[in-house]
Amino acid sequence: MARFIHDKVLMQNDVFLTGLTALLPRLRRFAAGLARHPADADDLCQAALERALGSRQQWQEGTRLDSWMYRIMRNIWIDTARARTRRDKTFTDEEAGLTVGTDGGQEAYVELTMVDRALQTLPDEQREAVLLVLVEGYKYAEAAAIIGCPIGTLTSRLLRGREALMVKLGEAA
Amino acid sequence: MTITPEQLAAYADGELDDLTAARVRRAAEADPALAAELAQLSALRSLLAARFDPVLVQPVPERLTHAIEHAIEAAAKVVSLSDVRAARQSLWQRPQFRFAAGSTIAAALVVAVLVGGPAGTPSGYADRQLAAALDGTLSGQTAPDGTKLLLSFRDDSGTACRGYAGQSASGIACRDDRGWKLNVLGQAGAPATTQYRQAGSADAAIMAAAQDMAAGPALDAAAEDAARKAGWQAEK
Repeated sequence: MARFIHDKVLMQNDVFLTGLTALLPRLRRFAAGLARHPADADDLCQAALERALGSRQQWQEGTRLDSWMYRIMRNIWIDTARARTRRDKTFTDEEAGLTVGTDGGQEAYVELTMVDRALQTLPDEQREAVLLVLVEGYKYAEAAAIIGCPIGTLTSRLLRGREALMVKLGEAA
Repeated sequence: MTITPEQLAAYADGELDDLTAARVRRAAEADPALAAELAQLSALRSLLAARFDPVLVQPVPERLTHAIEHAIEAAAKVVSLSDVRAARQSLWQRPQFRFAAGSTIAAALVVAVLVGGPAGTPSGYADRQLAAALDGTLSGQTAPDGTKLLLSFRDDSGTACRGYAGQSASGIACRDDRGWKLNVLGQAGAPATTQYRQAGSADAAIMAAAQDMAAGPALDAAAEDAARKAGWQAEK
């Protein structure tokens, strides 16, 4: 009996791990949208993967792995965004003139696109709503579940975020 | 009937029921300003897609795939015969393997005919070093001499048998009163330096042979540990 249970655990691992592998391109896309800077996107992705691998027993087979992963990544991003805001307030001004050209500089200075800059002006809650619905293609209910907010909250954040983006990108065009 | 910004956005996002969607569609057809707003919504989606969708086709950095590969490797450490059976079947289902597979596995194995080991090992039995690996190392782990233990199982008579893949040879050894009898000998296992690898053909051949010899599934970690503590005694 124990042996058969063991086989089942192995198979679940397999569904989980192959599922994660298949999700990687989409997770990278979401991370690219969330990250403050393109160079941070894969760090965010890796942090989410590590957390997911460490808590895989919390994922139940038959439930959606993608929503589960997006929620993990989103939570990490929210946590680090808070820490970063505090840090940036202290250091940004000094750092701005110093880091250019120091080692690793080229990689860190990937050019920000017009869309990146417009997204950066959005508050976090509008940004994630825009990304989940307009880029990742989630239904309102799915996006709200990932964020953990009511659908009405999601749609109003989405509306405000979308309007702000259209103004910004309209200016740039 | 006025269309609210929320309704227009929901229409663009495909979130409206058919009836409401039809109403918004008619309103947009009649009102150029509304149609222009709708076009803007769609243009924003396109801009976002143009920025982010290319990420989907970029190669995934190795550090991300490695994280998952390590986890797969860890999960595969406990070998399951049913997995092997499934893998073997799917291999055979591929047309190019259908005729070749049987002979490949046969070619990878020879029935053990051995001269006696240097340290007084009976002929056809594991030498002292291999015996130590078979005695003490759990499946999925690598003994100090580099021999990797693949699995443990019992044959029809209840005898404990173990599949292993060493640097010079792989095989299946079964424990009797005289020591670890080498019942099946295969090719050398893959180099131990390869951190992540698919199970080599030698491993696959050993697993296939084990499948034929085993009376039931492979021993799980607890059963294997119990067998080890009992000195790999036969179970009647």
